[in-house]
Amino acid sequence: MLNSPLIVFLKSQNNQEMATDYLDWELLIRQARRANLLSRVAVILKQSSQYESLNENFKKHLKSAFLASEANRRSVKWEVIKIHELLHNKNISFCLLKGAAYSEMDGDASKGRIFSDIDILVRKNDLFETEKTLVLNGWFSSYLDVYKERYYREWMHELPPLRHIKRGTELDVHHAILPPTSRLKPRVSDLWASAISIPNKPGLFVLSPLDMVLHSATHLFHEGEFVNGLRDISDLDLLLKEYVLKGGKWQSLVFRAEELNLGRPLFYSLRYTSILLNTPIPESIIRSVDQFAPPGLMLQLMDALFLRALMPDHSSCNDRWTGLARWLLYVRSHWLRMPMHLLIPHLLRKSWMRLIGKKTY
Amino acid sequence: MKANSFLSAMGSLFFYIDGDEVVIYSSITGDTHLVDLETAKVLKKLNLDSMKYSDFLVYLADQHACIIDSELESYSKVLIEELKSLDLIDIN
Amino acid sequence: MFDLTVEDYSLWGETGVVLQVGRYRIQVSTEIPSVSRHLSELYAKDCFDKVDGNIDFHVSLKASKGFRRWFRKQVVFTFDGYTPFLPLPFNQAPALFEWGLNWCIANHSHQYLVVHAAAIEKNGVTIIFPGTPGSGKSTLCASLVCSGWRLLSDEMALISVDTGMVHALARPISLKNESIHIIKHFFPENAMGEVVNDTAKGSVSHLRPPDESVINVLLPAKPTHVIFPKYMKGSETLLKKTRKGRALLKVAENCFNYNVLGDKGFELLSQTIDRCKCYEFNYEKLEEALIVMDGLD
Repeated sequence: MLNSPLIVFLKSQNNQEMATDYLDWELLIRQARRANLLSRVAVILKQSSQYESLNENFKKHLKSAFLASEANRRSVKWEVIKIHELLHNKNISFCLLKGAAYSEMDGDASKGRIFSDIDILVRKNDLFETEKTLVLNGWFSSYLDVYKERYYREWMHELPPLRHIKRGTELDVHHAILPPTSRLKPRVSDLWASAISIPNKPGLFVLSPLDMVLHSATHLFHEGEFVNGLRDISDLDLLLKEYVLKGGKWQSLVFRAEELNLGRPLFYSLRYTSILLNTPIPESIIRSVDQFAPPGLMLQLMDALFLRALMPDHSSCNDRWTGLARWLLYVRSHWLRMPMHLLIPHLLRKSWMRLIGKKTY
Repeated sequence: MKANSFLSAMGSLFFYIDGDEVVIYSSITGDTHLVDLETAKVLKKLNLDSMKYSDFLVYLADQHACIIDSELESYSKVLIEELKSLDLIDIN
Repeated sequence: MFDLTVEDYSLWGETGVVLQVGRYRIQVSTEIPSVSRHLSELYAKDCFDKVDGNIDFHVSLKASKGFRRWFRKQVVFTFDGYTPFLPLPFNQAPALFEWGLNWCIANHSHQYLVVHAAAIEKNGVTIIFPGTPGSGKSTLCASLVCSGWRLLSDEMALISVDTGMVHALARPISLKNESIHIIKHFFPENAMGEVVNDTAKGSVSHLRPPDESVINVLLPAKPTHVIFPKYMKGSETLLKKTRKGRALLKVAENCFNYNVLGDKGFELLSQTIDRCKCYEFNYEKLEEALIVMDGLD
C-alpha cells in the first residue's frame, strides 16, 4: 500500500531521487480521484516537465480536475467576501479556518484543493448575533432534528451546519476548535491572541501559521471519517513546508503545541506525514515530539489503524483490515469528543436511526 | 450617496454584445446577467477605472448629453442600486 | 476486435468488458443479464474491447447486498467503488447504466462545455437543441436521427474548450413515455431496448443509434445552429429567430459545468452563439419539423 502510485508520486515531491517515470498513471488517477487529490496532482504535474509527455488520455482527466478546483477556489473567495460583508456590518470579527484560510492566504495548501464547505471561528459571545445575521441573510439551518441540534450546540463546538439558500454553500460556525466535551482542551483565547488580521478586510482573521498547522493536525486526528485523510495529510505536508520549514520554526511549533495542549495531534501529524510523504522533518524534532506519543502498544495499534485509514478509499489500497480500522477510528473519534455518559446514548441513537432507514442521522 | 464615494466594477467583467442587449459575466461571482447597452457601457467604464460619485455624475451627464440635475441624480442612484444588487459594482 | 456473446456472462463478471463511447473507454462489469443484453443489443459490436488498460471510467452494476437480495431486489451503480446514487428497483438496471454513464461524463469532462442538449449533424449543418423541459427534444432528435441525420448526442452536447467543435458520443437515445410509442410507430425498423416502467421519469426505453453515427463518432462537428424546440399540441410549425444575448443566457442555464469553466465557459459560449444561427422552434407535427430541419443551411 505504501508503494501505491499515488503515494509514490506524492512522496517523490519530497524525495528527488524517487523515480516516477514508470508509474501506473491510470491507477494513480483513480486513487487520486477517490482521495480528492486529483486536482492537486494536476497542479503538481503542470509545474513539472513530466506533464507534456503524458498520454492525452490521462491529461484530459487532470485538466478536468484542475478546472474544477479553480472554479471552487473562485467560489470560496466570493463566499468569504459575502460573509465578511455581512458580519463586518455587525462588527463581528471572525477567523477563517482550514481551506478558506489557505485560500485567503493563497498558500501552497490552497493549490489544487477542493473546498466543500467554509469553516469560521467566532467568539462564543458573538455566536447568537452571528447566527441571527446569517439566518436573516439567506443562510438556513439544514438540520431540523432536535437531537441533532442539541448535539451540535451543546456538546460540539459549532452551530448546526448552515446552507446558503441561493448559492448552496455550506458554512460551519465554530466557537472553539475542539468540542467542550473533549478530553483535550486547547484555550481558544490563545488562538485569538495570535490570530492574524487580513489587510483591507477589518474583522477578518486567520490563525497564525503555527496554529493553522496545529488546527489541521488536531482536526485530522480527531476525525471519525477519513474520506479526505490523505488529502489532509498532503495539506499538512504543504503547511509544514511553507510555514514551519521555511522559517525554521520547528521548535516554536513544538512549544506552541505544548502551550495549547495539542502535543498528541502534533506527534501523529509529524509521524504520518514523514512515513507517508517523506515530509522533511529534522530528526531532533521527531525525537522531541516523542514526549507526546501514546504508550508503546497503543502506538502500534494507532499505526495499524491510521496507516490504513489514511489511504485512499479505493479497492487498490484496501486490505482485509481496512474496514475494521476505519470503524475503530470512527468510534475513537466519538470517544475523543464526548465523555462516556454522552457517547453511548449517542452511538445507540445513530445505530437505531440507521436501522430504521433514516438517511440523515 | 456621498460625493467622494468610490465606485468600481467588482473584479473582471466579460461582455457579449448583441445590439442593444449585453450579456455580462463576472469572474468574481461567477454570475451571468443580461443588461442594456447603456448600463454595459457604464460597467465597462467602471471596469477600467474606478470613479468618485461626483465624477460618475459628470460621466453620465456626458453620455446622455444632459445636465446634472435631480433627475440625473435619481437615475444614477437607481442604476447604482441595480448594479449593486447584481454584485457587479463595489462602493467604498 | 472482440467477439462478444451475451450468454458469456463470465466475461462480464469481475473484470467486465470495455465499451468505447466517443473518446471515452468505459470498463463495465455486471452480472445482470438485462444490462448485458441492453449493451449488446444497443451498442455496435465495434464498441467492445477486452480490458487492457487506458480506461477512463470503471463502472459496475450489481444487485444490492443484504436482505434486499430477495425482497424488492435493487440494483446499484458504482463508479470505481463510489456509489453516486441510491439503489433503484432491479428492473431499472439498463436505464441506471445510461444515467450513471451520463453522470460520469457530465461530472468529469471539464475539457468540454457540457450542454444539456441533443446535437445532430448532416451535410455540414450541426444543430444543438438545448433540453429545456417539455421541449420534446428527445423525440425530435430520435426522429431526425432515424431520417438520415448523424447522431452526436441525445443528452449531452460536448463542446471542446480547445477547438469549439462538438465531439460525439453516439449513444443509445433515451426515450420516455409517449416518445417510445411515437418512434416505434414512425420508425419500426430501428432497434429499441426493453421498456422499463415505473421509473421516476415514467416509462423509459433506448433507441439504438444508426451504425453510421457510431462509425463516424470521432469526427468532430462545427456547430452552426442553436435551436430551442418547444413541443405544444395544436402548435403551428414555426422557426423564429431569437436574440443571441438571450440565447446565450438560456444555453448557460442548460450547461452542466458552465460555472466550472468560468470565464473560459463564457467566452466559448459567446463564440459558439455568435457563430450560430439561433432560433426558437414551435411544433406539433413531426413530419413538418423534419422538413424544416432539412431545409436549414
